[in-house]
Amino acid sequence: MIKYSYIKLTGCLVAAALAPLCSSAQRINTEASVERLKSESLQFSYSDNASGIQLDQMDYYSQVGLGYDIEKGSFKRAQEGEHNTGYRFFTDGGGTMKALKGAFIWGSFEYSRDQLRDAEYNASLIDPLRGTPFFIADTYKSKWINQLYDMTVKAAAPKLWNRLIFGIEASYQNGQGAKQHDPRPLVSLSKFEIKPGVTVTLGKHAIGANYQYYSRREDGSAKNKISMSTNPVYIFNFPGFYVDASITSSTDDNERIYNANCMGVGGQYSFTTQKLRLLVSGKYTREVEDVTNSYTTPKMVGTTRDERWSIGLNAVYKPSKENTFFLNAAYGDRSIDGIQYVQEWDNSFEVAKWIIKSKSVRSNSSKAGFEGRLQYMRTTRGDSYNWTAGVEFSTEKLSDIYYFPRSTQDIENCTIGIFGRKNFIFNEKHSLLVGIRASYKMNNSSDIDYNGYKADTKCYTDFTLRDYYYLGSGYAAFGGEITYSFARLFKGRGSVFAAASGDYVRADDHRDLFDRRFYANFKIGLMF
Amino acid sequence: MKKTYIAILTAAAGLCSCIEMMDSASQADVVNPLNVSFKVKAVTGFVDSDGNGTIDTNFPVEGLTVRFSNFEEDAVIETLTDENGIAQTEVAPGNYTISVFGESESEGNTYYLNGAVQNKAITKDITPEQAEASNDFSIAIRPAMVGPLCFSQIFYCGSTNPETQSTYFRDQFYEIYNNGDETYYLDHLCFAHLVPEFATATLPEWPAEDGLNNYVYAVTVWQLPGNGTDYPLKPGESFIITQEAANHADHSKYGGLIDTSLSEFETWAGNPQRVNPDVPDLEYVFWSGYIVTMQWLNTVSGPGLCIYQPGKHLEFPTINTGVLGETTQRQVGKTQEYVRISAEQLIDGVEMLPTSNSLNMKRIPGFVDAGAASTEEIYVGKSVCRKVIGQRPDGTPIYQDTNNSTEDFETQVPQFRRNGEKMPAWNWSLK
Repeated sequence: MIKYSYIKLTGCLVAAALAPLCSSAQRINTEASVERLKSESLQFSYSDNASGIQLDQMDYYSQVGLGYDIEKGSFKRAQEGEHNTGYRFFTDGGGTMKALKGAFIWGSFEYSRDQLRDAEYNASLIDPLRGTPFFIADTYKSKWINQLYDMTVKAAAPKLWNRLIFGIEASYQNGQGAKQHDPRPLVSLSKFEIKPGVTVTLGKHAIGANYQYYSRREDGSAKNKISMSTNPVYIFNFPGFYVDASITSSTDDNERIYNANCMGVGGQYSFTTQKLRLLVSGKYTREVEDVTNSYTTPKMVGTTRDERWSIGLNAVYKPSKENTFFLNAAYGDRSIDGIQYVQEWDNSFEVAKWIIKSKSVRSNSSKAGFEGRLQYMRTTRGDSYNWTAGVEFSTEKLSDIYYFPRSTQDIENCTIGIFGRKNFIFNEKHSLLVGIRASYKMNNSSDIDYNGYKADTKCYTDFTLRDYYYLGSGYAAFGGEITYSFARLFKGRGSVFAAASGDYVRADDHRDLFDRRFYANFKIGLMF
Repeated sequence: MKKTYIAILTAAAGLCSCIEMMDSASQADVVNPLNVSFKVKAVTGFVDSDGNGTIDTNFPVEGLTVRFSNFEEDAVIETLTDENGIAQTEVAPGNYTISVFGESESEGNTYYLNGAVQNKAITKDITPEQAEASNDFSIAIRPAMVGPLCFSQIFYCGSTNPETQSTYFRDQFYEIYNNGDETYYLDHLCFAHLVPEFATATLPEWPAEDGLNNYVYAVTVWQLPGNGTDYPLKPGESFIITQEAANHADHSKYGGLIDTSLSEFETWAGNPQRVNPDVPDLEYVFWSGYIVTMQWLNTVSGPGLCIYQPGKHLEFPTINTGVLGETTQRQVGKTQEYVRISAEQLIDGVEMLPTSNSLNMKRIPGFVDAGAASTEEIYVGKSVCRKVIGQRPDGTPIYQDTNNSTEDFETQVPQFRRNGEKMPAWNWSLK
């Protein structure tokens, strides 16, 4: 608890402590102005290289607030909760610090506590959708309570010799998740990530490179609160491929220890003129996660080899002071190999441990997709904007394969969307930001060919197959948001805000399985 | 400065570990199915630890069913042996329990050719030539004649009182039936609880001198009294050994499920407080480890049990730890003694596991029991009961006994002599 209190306190102080060091420009921070600030700061928003943020010359902002989220409805993946609520405390802020010779410092902290109700097929992970095929599932509808602490710091040194910039980003995440129905694991998660980077400027051009490393550990043990009871569980190697097991008071195979290491590199090129700012970036990461079932006599449950690469093009074109165009395009590919082991227990008296006899890639799950957005922003009112509108388009291709017995699943989707926001500025103090959005997802093709041993089981029909239908299901979604800001606080620089947003998603396909889902978010806070 | 060094060393160690992990994962290639062959051979006499025994040509090994079960993936692949006793199929790399089932007629008797090799790691192709040449890719099975006695019902998992939700296991019982055509004299019959007591995938290691599947090992042994003809069990009769003979269904005194007071024997664990004077005590002749609880019970998650006939009253120098002798054995590197029971003396054995999917935890050799029975859950008031396949003219049942409890048993609500078995004339209540 002392550790958590320390983290919380540190996070709260990050934004507040930075404020006195920032520039003294009379910037008015509101929801709309910070949104504009982040959209225009390409390196800050779309690059992993903290050193490049110096090129953004990003003005400072700080915010602190409380949020409350609600999700409800049957149009969801099986492992998501049917009715989820959560609240969070968040603070972030920073910018270019004139008092520190132009160094850039930014920090964020968030504490969230979520309740997922009637979640299914998960008895081992805080986030069962993060990509690992090795997990324990049960068929009970259960409540999960998750709480996470997430802290990030980005810093970039002042430019050296008018050419060279060093920067670093570091983050730490700590969390716990607890299932509220037998079998009930208490899962702990911690992740530390660091991304050092360097950028070289050559007039209007700049190139950068960064390295990325993170270590993530997640472990927990499913146990029964009701003693002497037995609960069936399913130990998954891949969706559709699992073995039946049970959690009893004497079960010793209910622990899961996920230990991941990830390394990656990124490269950036940027071009900056008065009217145009362009950022082309690419990155590659490789994460390896070992899953074992015991600290004392560890047996490999499996390993994932998770490779991701992406390229992105982001541009801000400002032909005049009043008009700004944004273009964001990215293509990414993620491929997760599931490695399984053949092991033997060596019970000779001196050794007594699991020996790996062979290993092979038994499954692969991949996702490739393009995302693009074109946005126009009308900016005649100070740091904020009058209105903005845009279109979005994305495609995704999901491919899963289990190699033996060979089973495949392929899905291709595309989504189009539009959005717009109008900032009603009534006077210097009062403003109202109103936004609407709509999107439509279409399934282009989907195919499943299952040759495993579990075709008639609930875990296949109600979980794997239902998930397949969900992923390939089209939908229509629309939503809106409204934010009221009261500005000119804190020597004229700050504001308080209250915001509400809601989204409604209605399934287009497989209406016998899915209906709709509603999302709502409320937040209040302070910006300065 | 010292802190800096520690930080650098820690970071370096973390980096090395990370690189090793990444490198290890890089070495995995996409799986290819393996073509495997396995040889089945019928043997007699002593089988050494390398699987070498005298081939018994009286028993043809063609047409036997060979089942490759991968319990880590729930994959089951079955094939038949050819005229050379070789089974061929395609499997994924993994740990397999390879079971053989079949029967053969010899000299007018039916023999079961059952056997199993547990947790065999298959990581490469195995050609028929390799299977023929190497004991690593073969199963030596010992033809077993169907014995007259068999466990017909075992209630081990306990029960839960629906009113109080308290759990209970004092009414555990074991019913043994004469499934043959002749009277069997039970005198000197031993009832043994096999090692390990709790099912586990990490089996104990026994000395190489004991060879392969020549013995089973017991943690406790109970023996029926008699001088040779005192306890006849006629065809169609069963006798019952119970943990404590009492009316456990009387909830004013007990918290159990059934009345076991008509048992033929109850187990005597040296506790005078737990004696029913009407029911004879079954004497324990060997107890590995110091008896601290003065009670005896089987694990409710499933024991391994057998009955065997040594043909004489057994005597051990002491019944506790430290016994040395021809009939006891120690695990490699351990000091505790267990009774060593030769395969020839075994009459019946039943493996019981926490769930029917726990066959990788099997502890009894395949020639005793090629499968396992299970109530699937503990304290649910169910017993494992042998399946009835016929009826004698007098109405008594004929039970299925293929030495494969997966096939031979089903779960039922426990009940003494549920299928019309007869009570032996020497039951205390008939005297």
